[in-house]
Parts: sequence; C-alpha cells; structure tokens
Amino acid sequence: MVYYLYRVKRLFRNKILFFWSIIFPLVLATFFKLAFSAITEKDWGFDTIAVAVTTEEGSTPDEMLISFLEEMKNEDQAFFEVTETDPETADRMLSEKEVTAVIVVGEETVIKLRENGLDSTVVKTVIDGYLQSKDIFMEAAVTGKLAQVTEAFSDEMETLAVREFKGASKDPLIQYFQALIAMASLYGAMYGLMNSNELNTKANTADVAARRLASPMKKIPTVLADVAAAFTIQYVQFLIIIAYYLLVLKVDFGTINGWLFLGGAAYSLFGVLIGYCIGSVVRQKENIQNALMMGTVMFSSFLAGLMVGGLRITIELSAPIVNRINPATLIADSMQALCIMRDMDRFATCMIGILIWCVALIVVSVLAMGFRQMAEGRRVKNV
Amino acid sequence: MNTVVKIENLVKRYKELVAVDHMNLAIEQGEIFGLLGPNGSGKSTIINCLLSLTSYDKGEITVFGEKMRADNYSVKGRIGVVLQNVAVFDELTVYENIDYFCSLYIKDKAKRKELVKEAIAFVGLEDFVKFYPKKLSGGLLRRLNIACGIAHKPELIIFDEPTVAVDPQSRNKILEGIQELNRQGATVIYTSHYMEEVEQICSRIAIIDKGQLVATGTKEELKSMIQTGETIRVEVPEMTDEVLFGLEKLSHVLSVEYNEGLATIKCSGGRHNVLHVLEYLNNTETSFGRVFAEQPTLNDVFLEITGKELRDEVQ
Repeated sequence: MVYYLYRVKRLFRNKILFFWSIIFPLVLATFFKLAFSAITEKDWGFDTIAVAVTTEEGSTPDEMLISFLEEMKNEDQAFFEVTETDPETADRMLSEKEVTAVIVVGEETVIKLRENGLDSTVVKTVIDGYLQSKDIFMEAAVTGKLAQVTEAFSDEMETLAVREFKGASKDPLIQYFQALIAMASLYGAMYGLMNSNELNTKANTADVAARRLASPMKKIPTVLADVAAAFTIQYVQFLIIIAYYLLVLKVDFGTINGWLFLGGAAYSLFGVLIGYCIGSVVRQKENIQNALMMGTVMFSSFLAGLMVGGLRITIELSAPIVNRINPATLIADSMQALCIMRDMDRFATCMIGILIWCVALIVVSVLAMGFRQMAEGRRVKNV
Repeated sequence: MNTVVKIENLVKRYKELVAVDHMNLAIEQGEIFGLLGPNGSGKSTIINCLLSLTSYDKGEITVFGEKMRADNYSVKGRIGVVLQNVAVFDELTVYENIDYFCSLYIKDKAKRKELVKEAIAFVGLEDFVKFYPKKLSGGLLRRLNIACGIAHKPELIIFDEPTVAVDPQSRNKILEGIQELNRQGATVIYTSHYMEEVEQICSRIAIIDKGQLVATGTKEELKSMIQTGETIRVEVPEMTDEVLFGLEKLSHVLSVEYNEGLATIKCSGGRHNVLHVLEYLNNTETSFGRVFAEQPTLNDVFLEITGKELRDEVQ
C-alpha cells in the first residue's frame, strides 16, 4: 500500500506527464471550442436529410428500402427526403450538394456520401441497420418464418430510427472531443512506459531500477502496484477532462450515464497497458521508446478523427477493419455509441475490442518479460 | 569469522568481451572489503552479478551462506546498495525518498519511521527533509543516496564508487560514514578506482584488472608482494650518466629514473636507503635539493603487477 501511494504521488507530481496527459488535452479542447464555437451554434439543427436512391443497370429497384426510408419519422418530421432517380442524376445531385448521400441499389447496396459529418453517420447507420435486417428477412422467406420476421423487422426499424436521434448530441464537434478523450486516455501509455522502465536495468532509470530490483520486493506485486497507481492517475485525469468538457466548455456530450465511467476505466487501463507493452517489448533507449509511444498514440488518434473531422466515417466506408482495431477509434466509437447513438450493442462491441486489446497487451508484456528472464536464467550455469 | 560473500569461479561475458574472468573472492563478516581497479576493470559487473541484477555465464555466488538468486528475497532483505549514480526520485522529498526505499524492506510503519529518522540523522540531512532532490547540492544528494541504501540497517552494504564527482569535504564525510556503519556491525563492500580511499578505509583489498583478480589481501600484505619497499625522489639539477649508473649499483636500489631534474629511485625494503643515496650524491659531489621518501602505494602494487599505472587508467 505504501508502495502504491508513493507511486501515485510520484506520477501525480511528474510535471511532464501531467502536462501531456491532462493540460495538453484540456488546452486542445479549449482551442477546439473557441475555434469552432461559431460553427457549432450556427450549423446545428435537425433537418430532414436528403438522399437519392438509384438502381444499377440490370438490378431490381429496392422498393422496400424506399418505403422504409420514407416511413422513418422523428415525431412528425421525416428523417429522409427520398428522391428516386437514375445513377447520373443521383451523382450530379450529390456533387451539387442537393443530397447528403446516394444509395446505389445493386448486387451489393453501396452508399456514396457527400461529406463526413453527423448526417452522413445517420445515413450510414440507418442503411447498415436496414441491410442487416434485410438479410434476415430474405432468409426468413426461405425458411418459412416470413410473417414472424416481418413483424420484428418493422419494430426493429422503428427502434433504430428513434435511437439515431433520441438523446443525441447537438454538437457537431463532438467527434473531435471524443477523439481528444481517446488521445488523452492513450496518453496513459506514458505512465505505463515510465513504470516499465523503472524495472529495466538498461534504461535511463537503471540505477533506480537496480535499487528496486536489489530489494526483497517481489516483482509481480510491484508491477501490479505500479499498474494500479498509473491506472488511478489516468482515471482521475479522465474524470477531470470529462468534467472540464461538460462544466467549463459546456460540450454537449449526449447522454451521460454510469457506463461512460465504466468505459473510462477501461480506456485508462488500455492506455497504461500500451505503455507497459512498449516498455517490455522495445528495450531500446528511452527516446526511441517515447517516439514509438507518441507516434502510436498520435497516429491512432489521427485515424480516430482528431485532426481530420469525420475521418472515422471515411475509414468505416473504405476499411472498416481499421476502425475495429484502432485503439483510439474503439474509444471514440464506444463513446459515440453510448452517449450519442445509445446503441448498447455497438458500445459492447467496442468494449470487447478494448478488452481483447488489453488481454493481448498483458500477454505480450508478460511473454516479453518472461522470455527475457528465461534467457537470463539459462545463462547462469554452475560449473 | 563467517564468510558473508563467497564468489567462486565467476565468469561474465558481454559477447566477445570477458568482463569477469574466473573470479574468486571471499568476504568475511565485519570487513570493509575494497574492490580496487581502473574503470572498466569489472568491479561494477561483479556487484551486479552479486546482486543478481545481471546474469553470469559461469560460477556461483553465495551470500550469507545461501546461493544468491534474483528470487532469494530473504538474502536481499539483508543487503543495502549505494550505487555510483544517485538513484532517487525527483518527485519525492528527501524524507519520502528514504521512506520509500526503506518501505521496500521494512513493512512496519512505526519501525520504518524510526529507521528513516535515524538514517536522516546519520547522513546529516535533518534540515533538508522537505527538500526535493533537485534543490540539493551534489554532496547532499550523495548523502541522500546513501541514506536510501542504508536506512533499513542492512548487514551487508555495497558501495559502488560512491564518491565519484564529489568534493573533498563530502568525500571525507562519506568515508567517515562508511567506517561508522562498519563499526556498527555492517560488512561493507567498497568499490573504487581511488586507491587513497581504498587504502584509507578498507581492511582487505582485491585488486582487479581486465576482469581478473590481480591480488588480494590487507594493504600491508599487498605492498609486501612487490619488490619496491620505498621510493625516494631527489631534486637533482644536473646528473651525469656516471652518477646515474652508480646509484643503480647501490645495494637495495631496484631502479633509477631521471627526468627534468628529478631522480626517482626505487628501493627494496632495506633500512637507511635515504641515507645511502644522499651519501653517494655527496661523495660524487652532485648537488641536490629537496628529498622525498615514500612507502609503496597501491598504485605501485598495481604498476608492478600489471605494468601500468592505476592513475593512468582513471584518466
């Protein structure tokens, strides 16, 4: 316990770590808020989304899709204004910004989006939901359960439609803030790396590591106390950042509930473990480790849309697997699912992704340390 | 006497370099045992092997009668380490640093508090307990470093070059402190490349060069191993070759060197060497100035055994 408390104290007092993991995200968030506040106030407002539906040559028009889109309403306001047209006209409407998206019905239904943003997210989510259900619907026709599935289908579509907007944030900058939280969480890697190096007799902190390793403290409790301390600090910082966004910057985060705080714990642990893993596997000089760690965090955050808004959507459309495995996207997506979409399935999927990552990072770290110890041990022979 | 540390046939290689070459050492309880050797001679590697901080290729190390391994926590608990570089945390105060490192050994809070207080008093940091390391001078930092290594009152304390880059005043305090710890019952292993320090405080000394044990014994035993018993230096403004050869032929004279007005005459352990040399200079009407006579130093021992100066290596 003493060891843990001193560890917390040390991490908390480390000015460099404190700056990068908390001050920097807060400053960046403030900058975002100040820079884009005009856009926020001016541009938001729920409007019906114009979409064009077209059918590839030789394919049958999907009447069910058109009816589905036209039927979707938020109270009295229609979600979508649907224009059925030929492919050329649809492309022209998209390029002239008359519609947000073009849905091309063919052997495979394709969505063409005009630009990234909340409207695009809504179109993609709704169409994905529709296509998923459509597969089930068609399968039911083959298995003779058509009536049952039709009823369920209607309910599901209605639920999906409501879910898209109920509790949704009205702040179009939310994706930046989500990516920022993801980045801040992944900065926990700095704590993990620092902890890892303090048990590495080849690091800059070799003398401290030597002193600790020469003591009768067992390695596993030491590592666990280190992880617990780093996690504590990182989680407190997560709470501070959330509080700052909500109370000071007045960012509309959507629905806030207990799951966000549970998620925050997972994000914090995730960040710390990334640092541990880098420290355990890459036994190079610390500047190389730091460069690798910062590069990983920044590239991951970039892919999650920190620098280019809506990049997540672009990746989702072109290479969805990247979003399924990118740490920062998993964090940002889970917040999007939880607070904006209120989609617990998607939240659970993201959390499972984070959990798998955490387990993988622990396994790799332990193996890296274990292999090194085994290699060391094998060399000690009594002759 | 009990053997506290026994190193048998220790070999440590770094790829092609043999850092420790079939080393055998036995350190007895109550000793201040000096490991003396130039930089890179393998002193720190021996310490790292002894503490199980690094693996070794061959040999066995026994501490307090038990085989030393990384997981031999009971033995580790009886050892204190003061390393060459200051190993403290910048984010913790003087008190917190000592308490932290002491907590790695002592779980009982009240006992630890007492020990930390004693360690602070021992190194004279009472006025700096709330200071952060960055606010301390080099000498005070060294003292903090020592306090962190000895607060838990270890039976065996390893000092690995604790006086490197320390001012003479602080160096003396550190050496006095080590002797005091020894008087209080601790066995000390002291590594250094400063022969004066080793000579000053160590009861037994091992001279190491290129990973090999060159010689071991008390300082008197080491000095008796070499031919040189006395070195006489005489300021001679002018010296002919004839006089030089004549000096070399004197009984007990081993060698004579003449450089820039200074004659260095190495003699074996005979009596009245200075008298004989001065008589000869008088008889040959060779004028001379100041005369210095020195007993052999560990540097002479190192020089005679290895053929090189210990001091040269330090540079």
